[in-house]
Amino acid sequence: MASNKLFVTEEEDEEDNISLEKVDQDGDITMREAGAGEATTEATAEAKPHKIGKSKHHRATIDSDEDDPVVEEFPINIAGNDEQLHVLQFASKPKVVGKKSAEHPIVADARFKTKSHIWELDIPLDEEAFFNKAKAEDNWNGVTFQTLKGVSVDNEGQYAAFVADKQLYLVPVKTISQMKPYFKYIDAVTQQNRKEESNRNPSAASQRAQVVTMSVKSVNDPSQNRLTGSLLAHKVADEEPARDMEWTEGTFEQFRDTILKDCSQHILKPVENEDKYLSKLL
Amino acid sequence: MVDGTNKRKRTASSRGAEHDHRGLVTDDTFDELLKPVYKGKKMTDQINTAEDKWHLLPAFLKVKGLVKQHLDSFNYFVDVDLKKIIKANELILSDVDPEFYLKYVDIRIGKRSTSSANDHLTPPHECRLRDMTYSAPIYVDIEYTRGRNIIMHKDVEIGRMPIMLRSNKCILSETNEREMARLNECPLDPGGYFIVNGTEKVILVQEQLSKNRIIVEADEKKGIVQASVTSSTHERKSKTYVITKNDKIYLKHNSIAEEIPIVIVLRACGIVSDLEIMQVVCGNDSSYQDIFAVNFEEASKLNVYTQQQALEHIGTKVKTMRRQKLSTLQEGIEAIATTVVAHLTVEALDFREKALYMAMMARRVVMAMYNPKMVDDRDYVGNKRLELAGQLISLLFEDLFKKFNHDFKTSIDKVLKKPNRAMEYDALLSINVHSNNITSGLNRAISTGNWSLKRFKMERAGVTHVLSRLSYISALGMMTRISSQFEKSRKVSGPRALQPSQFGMLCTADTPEGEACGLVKNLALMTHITTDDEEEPIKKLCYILGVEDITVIDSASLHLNYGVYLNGTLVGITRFPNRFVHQFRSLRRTGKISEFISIYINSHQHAVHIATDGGRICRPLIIVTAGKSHVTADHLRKLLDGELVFDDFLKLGLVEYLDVNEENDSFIALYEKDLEPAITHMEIEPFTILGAVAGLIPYPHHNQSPRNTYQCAMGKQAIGAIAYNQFKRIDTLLYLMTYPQQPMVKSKTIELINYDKLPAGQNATVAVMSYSGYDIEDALVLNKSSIDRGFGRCETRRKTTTVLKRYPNHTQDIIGGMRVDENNERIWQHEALGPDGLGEVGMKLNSGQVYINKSVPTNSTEPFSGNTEAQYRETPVIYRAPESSHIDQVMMSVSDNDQALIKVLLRQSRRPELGDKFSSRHGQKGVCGIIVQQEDMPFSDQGVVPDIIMNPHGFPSRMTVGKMIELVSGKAGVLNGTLEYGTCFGGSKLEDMSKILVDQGFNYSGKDMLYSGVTGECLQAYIFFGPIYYQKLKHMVLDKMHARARGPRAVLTRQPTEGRSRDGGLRLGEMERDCVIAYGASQLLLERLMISSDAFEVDVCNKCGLMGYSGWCTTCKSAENVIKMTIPYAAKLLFQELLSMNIAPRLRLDEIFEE
Repeated sequence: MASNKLFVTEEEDEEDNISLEKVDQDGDITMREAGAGEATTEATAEAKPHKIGKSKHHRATIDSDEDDPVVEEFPINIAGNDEQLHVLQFASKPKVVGKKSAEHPIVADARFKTKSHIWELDIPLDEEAFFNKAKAEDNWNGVTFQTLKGVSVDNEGQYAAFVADKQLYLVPVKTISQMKPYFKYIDAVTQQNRKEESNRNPSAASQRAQVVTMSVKSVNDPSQNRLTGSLLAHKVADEEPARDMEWTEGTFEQFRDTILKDCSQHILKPVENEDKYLSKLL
Repeated sequence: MVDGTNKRKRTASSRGAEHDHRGLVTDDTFDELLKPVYKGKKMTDQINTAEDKWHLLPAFLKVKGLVKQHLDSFNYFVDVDLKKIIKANELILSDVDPEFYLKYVDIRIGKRSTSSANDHLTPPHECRLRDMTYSAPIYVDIEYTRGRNIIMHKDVEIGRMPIMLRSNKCILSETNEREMARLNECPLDPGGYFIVNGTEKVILVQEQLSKNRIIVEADEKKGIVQASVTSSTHERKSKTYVITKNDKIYLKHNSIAEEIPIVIVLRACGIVSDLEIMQVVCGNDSSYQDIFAVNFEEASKLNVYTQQQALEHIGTKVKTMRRQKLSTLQEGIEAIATTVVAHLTVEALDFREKALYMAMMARRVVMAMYNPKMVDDRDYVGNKRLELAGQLISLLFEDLFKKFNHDFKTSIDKVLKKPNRAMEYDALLSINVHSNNITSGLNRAISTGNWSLKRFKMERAGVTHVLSRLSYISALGMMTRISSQFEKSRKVSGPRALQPSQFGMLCTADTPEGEACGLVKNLALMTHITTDDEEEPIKKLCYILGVEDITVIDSASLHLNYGVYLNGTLVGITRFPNRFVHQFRSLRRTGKISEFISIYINSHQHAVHIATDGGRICRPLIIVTAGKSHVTADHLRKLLDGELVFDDFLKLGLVEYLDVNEENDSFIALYEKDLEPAITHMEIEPFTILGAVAGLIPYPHHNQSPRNTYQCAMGKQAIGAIAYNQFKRIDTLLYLMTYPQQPMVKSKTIELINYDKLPAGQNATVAVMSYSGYDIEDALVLNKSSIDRGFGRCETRRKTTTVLKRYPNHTQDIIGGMRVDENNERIWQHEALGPDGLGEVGMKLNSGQVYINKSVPTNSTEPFSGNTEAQYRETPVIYRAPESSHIDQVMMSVSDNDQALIKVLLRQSRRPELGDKFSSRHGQKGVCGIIVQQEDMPFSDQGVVPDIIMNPHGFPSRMTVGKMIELVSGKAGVLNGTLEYGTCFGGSKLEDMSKILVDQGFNYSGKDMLYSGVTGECLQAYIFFGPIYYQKLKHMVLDKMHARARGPRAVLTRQPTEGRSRDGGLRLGEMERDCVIAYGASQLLLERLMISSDAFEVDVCNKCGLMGYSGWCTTCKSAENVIKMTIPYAAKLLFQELLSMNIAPRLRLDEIFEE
């Protein structure tokens, strides 16, 4: 995908590009592309908080909003106990995507680090438009992928939703991550250059004979600090091997069916009645 | 008095009785005000909301008190903050034994876990008298390992905490007046101070710029825009800047060597693509984009394109010293994660919150570059936070506690290191060794005022002050005082200016004159200072109310909607800010969240700001919707009946607290008549914009404003009653008025702060006229008979303390008995002494007499020799003063360190004399110019003779119209038998007062026809004549008068000493010298500068020009050319000093000195 396209974004549109993805517990991936259906796009991140807010407030707020009349009421289903939904946001994708296949690049490779919650997606570059193949060969070791990387953040209170048969289905979202370009190839080249540099003209310090002093330290010596906080997290992330995932698209129908089936099997029952709820509110 | 009221009502009823005193006359505590029936006002009487809503004020003060801010802050510290500190420092681990741990489970002040009641504390008054610290033990519950067992130990005392008087740990909290009297405490004393080593110490409220908030400033001369934030956490304080330099934006921080381009910083935070950086900083505003675009160039020049490159770039610039070696990449990560904007720490890999914070800083800079008006005002009260006693002690305690734990740990390690211990080691054995650290650390800081915090590298001096007990008002004024961190010497006007945002929060009148003008402020009457509140629940609530979390929002839509900021940090965005704010406020009004959390919309910044932090000033206001006040007559009736208290008004959503920022987002009506649909709030009472001290002034709204400021300074110097326990106190210096009176013209504030119970002044009958010429320059003419009757009479009480020391060789100071002469009568020096060697109570002391006959052992270092004779040397305490005193009290006790402590209180009764200073309550001070026999004073038809004659020239330039109205109201009150009111923006109306005067047969304007006391003739003009409340100020001639003919001289220069206390000379200074030179009076000059000062005869050798002695020149070894001459000793000293530095000043003498 050509990064040049990023600069011609129409910023007026409010919709953002969101892909919804489902990872089953056994690890194989089903996936659905964004923008496929109007209802689902709406159902993701943006619209939800209001839904939740409303459902909590229910009548109390509805009454006060006179310019916002109730058009229709939907029954709500909360589903998905064993589904793990991860929302991936493609921060640098244009907002309006056309039908051209170039604008819907496939995901060639997906990796996930379970401990550090890091996603990495490899997307093949569109070599036909705005792409300097020679430069890529010369400078960047013939890069052919754009790598997107994102840290998934645990999420609470957000739901993915869709409407089917005039019923609203809510599936809790487990994590959200924003996928951002990660110029792996630049870093790789820099590192390579640096190594060559140090090989070519080794510094005076490393050439000279040195007196090596050695001291014995206890393993749990307090003066030897362990890494903490963000540094530790980075170290763990660097050392953790990535798990390769399979990227599957067009699984929304299947996903919907499982949810529908799931919901039909059990009905949510309120723990308290309406009066009790309202009295708590007041 | 009730009769008087009725009588006056009858007379006033002819005019429709607009002036009435419904419920305004009160002599008792607030309870009286809140009783169903009082002073002619019954439950069934009509309640007028517009007039009676002020009753909320006594209700507020009943709940809050006058120094509630101090008490709240201290209570928060001991109840909440201490537990947080313990939690944050709960574990002590050993470096030697990995199995060992010690954990703090709980902490309590002054209460054991086993008993339900609080520990018995030495009562505060006893602490004052015995020079002790009023403190309570700090108990911790600990859990630790001993061998393989885990042991719980409760109620371990780790030190003592000084207790703020009247806080919830104080024995005076919730005691009644009777109990107070038993403890020798004054029920009107507000508390809020500490007693450390017997002195009362106040921790003044400190004003600071708010922490963790972005402040944008522009320097137009240098063309710099900068956004700065002071990050403050428990561990550290640091400041981060986002600053422009040649129109490019950089990040600056103390521990990063050079400025980092903002694009690189954002890349380091993981916002890598140019597009996203642009989106995050500028949104889709093309003018912002144009301004910002140049920054991308900067980054690409440095070849920084990826996050890793950016982190490495920053890593190379970091200049922190670490014990641990980190790679440049790690340095970069560390810098971004913890160093920069330190109040947001990144624990994991997600930098988004921090990235957005810095992007917002950059955005604010871009906004200010585009529109220079988008800068913040440092002096705006909403950008300030007040630091109170609790917070300051909390900082100190945490420092001491960390030190305590560190010491504790080292001593544990020391023991555990020994390889073969005979017994299992009990960690508790090491704890008590250090327990003095916390106690003495706290005591020292409070008694010296030096706050030194190791972890912030902070050294602050002058944090505490001795509570001024000059008068009740001065003590009260001190409790409401706010000092700012600004340098006093700098000539800046901004921080000193009166800010519009001070309205209702800080007193507009009460500030000192001179160098601290405008920097020292005072709280207004009805204010509250918030304490810290939890952020997390509020954050959750925001999400429930429809705020979209920032982790979900993509960068493109970040600036499309309003951002929601919680304590300065972006937590989300909302599409419907008004609705969100409305819902949030309704939750607050229903009491679901703390009433002190503020929320407001800043439409310039497209932001909703929520503040939960402590130190914000806020005040209650009546809520108004649709032009209707929520507080109705019904509510007020219930308030008067005692069915509702002030807090119920909060819970019912009738009244709410607004801080300065939220006040700015509101539309507040002053009076009920101003209500219209757009109004959101209404003032409870307008006079609450003044503070407690300015509230004493009658009719301040008629005065020129500097006069009110002057009165605020003088009200604190007025001599009056101090407290109900004033005669039981032994203070270093106490001034008391013998016959204080409550003012004829009071104000509601006076009643609320109980000034009428502890007044400082007397109602003097004043004639405004010229008399005798001894009344120029504001001098007053006093009536001698008035003084005889007790006008202005006061007493001073001065304390002397002596400690009978014990010495290492088991000797100690003793008190000898009195010495008698041959007739077995006491010698003159010992006339005041009793057989015990101490002055006897009631005895008169003249200068030179002894009142403590102390002796000290001659030998206090060497061991006891057995020779009992002549061991002691007399060191009596001798009274030295121009006037005699009486011994008022003698106290002997034992202080903390087991040494005998003797305090003697000496009393002097003083009547006004020439030169004593007086002032009215309108900033009009004057000294007594002459005291006139009553028969020579003018008198009126009724035979009334003035106590004071004041020169009318005092009025035109001062424009103190309030004083004139006070006179009229006072006169009407006297004739009518009522106390009148001069409350600010209200009070008794002049029209009504004039009506009373006319009805009583007086002139409407307060003028009377007077007759001269000297000639008996009628004076040619009508004289403005009536009562005005006069204060006697502490500056009295007796303390200042000074003269000297001969006396002590300084050793070094042989010139007369300086200062009254050293019986010093009166200096003929440089400018005076110039005058004498100009006049040509050379002999006078010689006399003043040398002969009367330090004349000295020297022997000068005319050959070598140096000085010799006794007619002998030591240099020439001859007496041949030695000449005697007189020079100032200082000159001789100079020559010698020059000689000592190898410069030889040689004198060449002319003929006149040759014989």
